Amino acid sequence: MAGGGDRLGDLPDSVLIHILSVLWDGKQVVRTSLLSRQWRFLWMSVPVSLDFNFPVSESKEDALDYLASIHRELYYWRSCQKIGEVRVWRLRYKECYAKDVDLWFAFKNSLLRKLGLWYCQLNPSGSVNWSSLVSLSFGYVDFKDGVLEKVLSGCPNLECLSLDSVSGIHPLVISSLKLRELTIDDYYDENHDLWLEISAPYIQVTDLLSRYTNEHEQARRFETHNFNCSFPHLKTIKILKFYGSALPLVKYLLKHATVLEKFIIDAPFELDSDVSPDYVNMALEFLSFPRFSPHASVIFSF
Amino acid sequence: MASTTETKQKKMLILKSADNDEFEIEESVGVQSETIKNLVEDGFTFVPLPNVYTKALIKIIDYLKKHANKTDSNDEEIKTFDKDFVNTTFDDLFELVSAANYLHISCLMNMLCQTIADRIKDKSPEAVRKIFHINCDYTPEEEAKIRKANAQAFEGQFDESLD
Repeated sequence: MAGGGDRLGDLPDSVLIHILSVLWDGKQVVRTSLLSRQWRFLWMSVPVSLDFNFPVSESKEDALDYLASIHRELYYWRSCQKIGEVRVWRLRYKECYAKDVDLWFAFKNSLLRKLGLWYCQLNPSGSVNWSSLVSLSFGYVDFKDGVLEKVLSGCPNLECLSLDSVSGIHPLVISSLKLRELTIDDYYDENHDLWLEISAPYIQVTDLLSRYTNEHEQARRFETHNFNCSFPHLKTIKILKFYGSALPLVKYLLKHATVLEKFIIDAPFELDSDVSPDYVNMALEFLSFPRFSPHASVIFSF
Repeated sequence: MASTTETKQKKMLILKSADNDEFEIEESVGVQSETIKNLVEDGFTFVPLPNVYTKALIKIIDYLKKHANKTDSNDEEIKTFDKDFVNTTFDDLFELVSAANYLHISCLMNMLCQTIADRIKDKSPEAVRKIFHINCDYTPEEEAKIRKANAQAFEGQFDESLD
């Protein structure tokens, strides 16, 4: 128990805001406004994260009801200076909901900057207008018929795009000058012969994480692919869960990424494997690959 | 991976606390603090810390040493160390959080803030005031006004206990 006075209140506001920001419940953060005058407005500087799970239901009424409740919630947080992230599960985005969804980005005082969409169905037929968005993540979303392009064209200020277990992109074209960071955390397609082709000339940072458990499948994908691209802006690359079969990709990237600064490769440590891959030799091999960029540092950890 | 640093002589730093005690530590241990790292990059090997008292500094050096030797195999050991580290009085926690903030040690900062936040979690405002000796300077009218402005946040049952 604390000794005499209010030692907590003696801490700088920045520390108090840090403490409030690790409280997981936004309403708990708001309740601290009642502690004393010092605390009255602190909560407004704490970025809140909001999660919305759409009901498992096909009915339009249920979806509209839930959309209305999201509006109420966003309205409630309007005096908060920033909303950290909004994560939405199971939204079936159709044209009839487009206006409602666009509204999320229209709350002037708490512009929505980070949005995550999980297990959502997207099918925008009109234009998307998510102009305040800076960071967008998708998880388990199927992008048939150029859906991703439509969405991206409505996000002119996007800087980070993250794709986790998505499908249906042929190819992934990112032409925005602002979008600098791309993370691909597994990609699948029903047709195994279709590649994820990426054309993103302005990307500066990319993280690739492959979860193909079948090493032969991964080998086939990397080795047979005819790499044909250049990376005029790519500065940082991370490959997580690296297997030896991605060596040609590494070699290609080192040779063609002209302004590369950092290449991080993280190989898995396999406990259940009798023969551990020869990572030491592999590391030496990396270092011997020709590099275009003289400043590139290669970090290989295993 | 092979390490070449072992063959070289270890670089040392001297930290001086607010009550003028001096502590010698390895540079590699010290640079986990952003503040120290910036000074080291500017060529300093003597670091005065006018905002950090000896009592807190000893604990923080202990923490930095432990975390500098982090490997995959001593994960559990460090977790136990961290748990003991935050199991202390509020006065110590506040002293440490001020020091960690000044020194910019982000992992320690997160851990300490989480520890303090855990004591706020689920509690009623009245309980939080008592736990932290916060003097409420609102008039009853003002209090009612704040509750009304954010009525949703004050709905429901809260933990009134002081532990």
